[in-house]
Amino acid sequence: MIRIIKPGMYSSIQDLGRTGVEKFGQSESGAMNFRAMMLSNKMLDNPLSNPVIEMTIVGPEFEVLKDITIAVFGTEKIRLNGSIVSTASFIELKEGDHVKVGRLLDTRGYIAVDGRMNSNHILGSQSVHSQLLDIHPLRKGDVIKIDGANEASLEKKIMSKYPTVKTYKGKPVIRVMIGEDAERVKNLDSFFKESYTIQSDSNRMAIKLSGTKIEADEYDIVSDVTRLGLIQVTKDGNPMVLMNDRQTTGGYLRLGTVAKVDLPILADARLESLVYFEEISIEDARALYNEEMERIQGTYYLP
Amino acid sequence: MNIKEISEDRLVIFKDKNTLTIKEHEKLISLMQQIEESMMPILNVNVSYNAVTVQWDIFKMDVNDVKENIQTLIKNLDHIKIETLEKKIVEIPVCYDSEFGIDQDKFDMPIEELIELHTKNEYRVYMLGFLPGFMYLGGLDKRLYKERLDTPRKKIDKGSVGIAGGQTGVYPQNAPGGWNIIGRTPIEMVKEGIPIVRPGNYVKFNSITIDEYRRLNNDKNN
Repeated sequence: MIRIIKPGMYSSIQDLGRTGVEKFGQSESGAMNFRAMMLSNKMLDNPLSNPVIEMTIVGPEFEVLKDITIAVFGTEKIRLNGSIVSTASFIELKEGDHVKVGRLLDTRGYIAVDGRMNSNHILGSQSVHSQLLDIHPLRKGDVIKIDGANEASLEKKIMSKYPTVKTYKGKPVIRVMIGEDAERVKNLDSFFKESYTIQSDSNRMAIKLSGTKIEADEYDIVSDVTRLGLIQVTKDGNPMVLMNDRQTTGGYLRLGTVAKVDLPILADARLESLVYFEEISIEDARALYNEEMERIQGTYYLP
Repeated sequence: MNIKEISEDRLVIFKDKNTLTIKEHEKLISLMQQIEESMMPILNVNVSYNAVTVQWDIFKMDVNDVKENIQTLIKNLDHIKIETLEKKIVEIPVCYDSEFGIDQDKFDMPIEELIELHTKNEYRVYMLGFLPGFMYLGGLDKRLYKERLDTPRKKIDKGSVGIAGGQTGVYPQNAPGGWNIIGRTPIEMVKEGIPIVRPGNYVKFNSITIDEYRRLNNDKNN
């Protein structure tokens, strides 16, 4: 059990999201970096879909009310009772401990706890939606109960936390499947050649980008269903990648869809950092996603 | 009907036309129901103005099997006579008092005419989205078409009934928006996360007095 002293920049409970409700206008929410989220659970031998705390830029500060064990992704160290502790493996906490996560390496991080975090379920999930629903992000004073911690002692694991990321000029390359309205784009080759900057007003609804403006005669489309990773281009020529708390319908040009395997890179990417885009077929993207899920569920990330 | 993959775990089923007839849209809704009721590991099915979108669990079923199953469902649709399902009409009480209808003066007509034009038609629900319970409706009288506001308002009150271009609808919750607001409904558009309408339903707006609005609003809050 923990009590939040400071929630950090934006911390919320997330699991793998809600299914079946997109038709109501409710997007799935859930962890933006599914890889880190699942691996943080794996470090504690939890079911990989257990809810975690998702952190943004600065993590929370909390007090431990009952002994727990945590796994932290997104930063290499935290402060435990004032002393620096590595997050390379899980961390055992005792009643009365004070934890300060501090600044993350990049934009997102995760805290998993051994056992299952207790919080309200809405429409089948504990995931908090930043714009909707009656469940809210972490606030000062919130008490989070944890059920069913592993009685048997956990085997210490130093995990390789980061996947191999394809880079170009030192910046990550994000793979994109061509979208329904891509034929309207006059300078698609520029999109796949020039760098784009992650804008500071990016959030759980969308990762906003700036760079070479996308040119098209018409940016409006008849309102249609959106999807996770959809790249929309608005009248100002700036693309944006729709993420977990997106609006479920949209009226803008659909340039493409970010491959699922690369969504974790976007979720973590530092604000104002650069990325490149590369085209990929749906078939290849599917194979990569399959491969990555097998790695997460298997032994690839283990020592 | 065509089936096309659009991402790792999504495909769309569509006719090669931009605008569908109501009968064609009804077929899509029927297909959507069939897909939901099938044995396939479906994560989401959705319908828009002219297509059905399916998201499935790729770890439980291969894309080619999904496509094959859907092809069979489509073939069956052609054979089954689409029984004209009893038309479900959802009535939405709206108070068109000027206290709520803050953009009424933009319509260049007496308020009685605006109310008459807005309440006479039954509007078809084509899809839901944007916000939970937000309806995309068809059937607005052309005389009521009005461009969105140049600058959207930072906050439109929950229940506001508005018009933008050729669309009309209800804001199911407080939200920013550029619609022209003509009235407000006291009823909830969403109950425990589930919208009160479905694609294929019809909506009728009924004019109520401000006293009735207040009564219904109080009932809702108690």
